[in-house]
Amino acid sequence: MNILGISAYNHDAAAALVQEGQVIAAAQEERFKREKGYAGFPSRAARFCLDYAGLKTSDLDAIVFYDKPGRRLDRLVKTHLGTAPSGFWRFVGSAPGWLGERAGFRLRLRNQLFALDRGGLPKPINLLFAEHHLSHAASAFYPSPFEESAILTMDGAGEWPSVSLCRAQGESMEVLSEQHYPNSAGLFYSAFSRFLGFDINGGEYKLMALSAYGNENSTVYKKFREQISNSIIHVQDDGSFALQLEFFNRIHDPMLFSDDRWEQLFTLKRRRPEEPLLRRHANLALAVQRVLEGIVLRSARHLKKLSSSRNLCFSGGVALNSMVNGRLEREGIFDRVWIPPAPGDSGGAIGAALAAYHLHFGRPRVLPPPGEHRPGSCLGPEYTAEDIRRLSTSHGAVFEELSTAEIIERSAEALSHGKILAWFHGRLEFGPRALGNRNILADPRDPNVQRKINLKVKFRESFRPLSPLIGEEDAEALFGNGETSPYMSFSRKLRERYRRPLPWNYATLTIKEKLHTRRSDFPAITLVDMSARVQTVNPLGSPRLYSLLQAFREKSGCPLLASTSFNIRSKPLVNTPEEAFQTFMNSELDVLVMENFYFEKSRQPEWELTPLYNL
Amino acid sequence: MRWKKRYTHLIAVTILALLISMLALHWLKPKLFIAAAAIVLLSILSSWFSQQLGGPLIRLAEGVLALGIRVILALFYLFILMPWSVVYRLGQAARDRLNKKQHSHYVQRRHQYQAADFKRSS
Repeated sequence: MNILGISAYNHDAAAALVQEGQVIAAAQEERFKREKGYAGFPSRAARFCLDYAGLKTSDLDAIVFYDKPGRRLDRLVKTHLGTAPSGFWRFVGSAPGWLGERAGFRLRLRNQLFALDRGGLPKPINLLFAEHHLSHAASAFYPSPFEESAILTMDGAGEWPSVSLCRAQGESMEVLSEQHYPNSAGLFYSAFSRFLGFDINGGEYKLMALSAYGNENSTVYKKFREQISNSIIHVQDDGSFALQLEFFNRIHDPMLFSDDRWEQLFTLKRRRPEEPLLRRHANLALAVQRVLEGIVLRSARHLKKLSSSRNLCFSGGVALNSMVNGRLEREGIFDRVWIPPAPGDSGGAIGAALAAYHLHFGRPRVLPPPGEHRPGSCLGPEYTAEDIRRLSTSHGAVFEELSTAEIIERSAEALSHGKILAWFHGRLEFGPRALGNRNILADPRDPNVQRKINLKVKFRESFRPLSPLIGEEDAEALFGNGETSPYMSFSRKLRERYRRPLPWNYATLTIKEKLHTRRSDFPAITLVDMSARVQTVNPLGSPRLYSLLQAFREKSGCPLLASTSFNIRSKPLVNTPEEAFQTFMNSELDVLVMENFYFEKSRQPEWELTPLYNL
Repeated sequence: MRWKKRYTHLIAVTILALLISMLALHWLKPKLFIAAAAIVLLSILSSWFSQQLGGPLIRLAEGVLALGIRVILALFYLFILMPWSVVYRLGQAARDRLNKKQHSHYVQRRHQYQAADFKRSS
């Protein structure tokens, strides 16, 4: 049975192919279109999924859309009912678009699906629709190792729900309670993200990273927290909450919040994107982060009572917040917590297809035997040695083709000499994070490496963190937690013994001063609050990356590598060898390793810098 | 694709010719008939001509349509959506007063997903 899941027309468009209950291919359209968070129809991603399995659309048993467009329309109309007459101009301007989109939705979707077979004759397509939060819940539960579990989903908004509390056993799934739009933790967080000068649907990571620079003992932080709790959001004991809507502009997307009221409330000017970040911004970010953590923890406790389960699957955009996930893990409300590699809307494509397979077609769920490693997040396209050779010849690039053992040896050697290395191997990752196949790697002990990668390789803010890659067996010794974290979902604290004494006035330092203070033996991966977003590497799941870690350890004595995704600011993860080579040549990367091909920057011919938007 | 464009331009030109013919009938002016026939004939013979005439006609029609839709939507907003909004908000305010005493904003659903849940888009 072949089922194609589609996530489209919102943000992070993606397609996923499920064959006999297994996800065999999945990709995000942004990786092909080179437009981050692409919101149209994922035609190239769907084409890739079908080609990968050698299928045509006529071979599909069903195509499943990841939400219910009719219910979304209902939400839009009712939102206007709740805010009239302030949304008059927006209604007149945008209603023709969304009325056309939603009214002709089936027809439009069908046309785009037929176009996948390059103009093949239309045939009846079994088109199904899964609820948005069901897609999130299914994307977390069905690939999880749990026979039964509680499921918490939390995001901006689906059709109406913004939070869902579910329970699942075998292949069956039940939704217990929901919280509805406009009360939304995702919108709450995104509004603050925008207030602090970051983008919506992307800038939330920056808000999270910035929060680590706040000071929990400062009066400013305490005041912000109180103002948020008293005026912006009222959180109940069970984690449900009510946004105070007079502070939000529901209609005037993408502003989300009422500028004047917020500035008046916080006595803080809205930060424009390129303005400097101040301690007050960090303290506000911390207050927002703590409120969000409170919501998630209370919701999890409530769900525990409702479901009586010992396991939790957590999904939706809020589950991308690794600091929230770290708290959830540390609090021990559930024995085990599972977060999929793509908990956001792109993962909805996988969830919709899996939900249809188990719930619509009633096919049983088969848990993987213990120890078996499935592809996880590496579900995208891969490229052959011939592709890389052809690319190198076309650019006149100088490279060496080595054996696998040699390439690992040379890469470890380069890393141990302080080089910054781009690592390109196997299938492209699905989801927002690079998990070992499209990464930039460096020695985590180098105090300058974070700044160098951020400013001269990725051209982004200097405070953005790098993540540690570590063998599963070493995670306990360094982070005091032996649980696997293959998808970089959890933020964990570095053990005391690896921390360095901090200056007495550390808490009151500016963001820049904190960033430049050496906090641990691994400064590149330790956030200012001593936490790190850990990715554990399994020798069976990622043998090549694991070998590199071991080789680096032998040469340097260091069990970690600092890692970040192989892309530059505001561009998606590199997909093809061409994009990898262009990024390598246009940034200050020292070495590029593509499969068994080794490229050194110092040996490359003259290169005219390409404008970054072409990458 | 080119054929599709040419076809669209010809339809636009034909509609224009029909309108001119109707005026010719109304005013009983045979010269207008001849002009309409000439427009159609030239458009069939020359794709350049049909494009020069059909292109602006289509853009004009699109503009008028977009404006018309917005006028209809504005009228809909003012005369239907706004009164409806008042009733809706009065109902909501009453519900909110009741909910104020609640200690939870969760809506209980208790729904076991089934095959039928996937059939409808709403």
